[in-house]
Amino acid sequence: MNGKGWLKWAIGVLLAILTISSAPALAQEAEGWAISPGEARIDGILLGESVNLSITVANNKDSPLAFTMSAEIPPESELRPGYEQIPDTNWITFDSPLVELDALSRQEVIVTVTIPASGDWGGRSYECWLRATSEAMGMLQVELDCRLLLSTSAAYARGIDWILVGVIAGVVVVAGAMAYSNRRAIKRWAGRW
Amino acid sequence: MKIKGLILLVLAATLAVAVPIAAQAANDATITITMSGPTVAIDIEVEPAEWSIESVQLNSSYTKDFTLVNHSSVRVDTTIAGTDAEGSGHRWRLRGFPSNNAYEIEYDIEGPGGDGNITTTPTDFVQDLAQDQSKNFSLTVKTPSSGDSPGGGEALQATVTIHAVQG
Repeated sequence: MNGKGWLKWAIGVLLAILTISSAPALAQEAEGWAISPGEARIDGILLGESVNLSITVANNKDSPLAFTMSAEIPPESELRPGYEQIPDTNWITFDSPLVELDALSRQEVIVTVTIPASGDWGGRSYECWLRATSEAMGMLQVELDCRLLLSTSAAYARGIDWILVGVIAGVVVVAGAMAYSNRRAIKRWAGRW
Repeated sequence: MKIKGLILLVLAATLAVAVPIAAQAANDATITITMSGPTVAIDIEVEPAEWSIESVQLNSSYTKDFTLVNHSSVRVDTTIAGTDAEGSGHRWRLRGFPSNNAYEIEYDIEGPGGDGNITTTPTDFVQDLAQDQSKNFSLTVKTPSSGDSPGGGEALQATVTIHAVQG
């Protein structure tokens, strides 16, 4: 085989590899509807903090389709090891609770996770299912879930720590009152300097 | 002199409260997580996608065959659940067997998948279905042995929900 022959052979092999490797992805795109990712993990959320993540709902059908988005508490038996059920699905909100997709289209949905600042939620791991529910087709309906795995930090987000504020205010008031009641002594002491 | 001192005290207390509040206002922010890497999509398809039963009657049985296909890039676990049938002033409760105003939906998965009754609580259906694999199953609706029956032009709506999550 001469130099050009080798080149043609190499290009042919490269094209074959590209075709084979891209085939499953194309097949995956061509069917039904989908939610992605299948699983998302967020670690170290501070108490009182809000975190945004995006999930994508895709309609690969050749007709329009509508979905409702919701946060669900997973069954105990389905939890990932080390995770517990999210205590309150109100921690999760969607920017688009209703998604209406044209044929062969997709939409990004922003999910906001907010861990309350008050409560014993620090240093825990929670699982929540982010659910897309298709409109019913006769008797049939399909729901697809993204597993959301959350780990909270024991620390607070930078914000108002009311206990600390109260202590500071108390110290200032007491110190001010003491200074005011002893103002003459302080004046004398200051005069020496 | 006393008034001045009091004003100073109030001012100091106000500052002690206001400074952290101002700091909070400046620092309050939402963090956005961007995920990268291989994207896993959950994608199942039920064929046919639609099932409507026409001219439903009491004490009857209606069966349809389906195929569940996993187009996801990962294995999935599925559950199945049903609802009461309601509409036109009628209500059939979903129960384990047909009786007065109670109907039943059975599933039968081909092979070792098993069979059972669909309830209003999600129960395990096809488990550990691999990528690009499919499973045939049938659904059978058994209408109430007695009770209300929708007349001409009336309809009852019941829903069977198949749910999938990454295994």
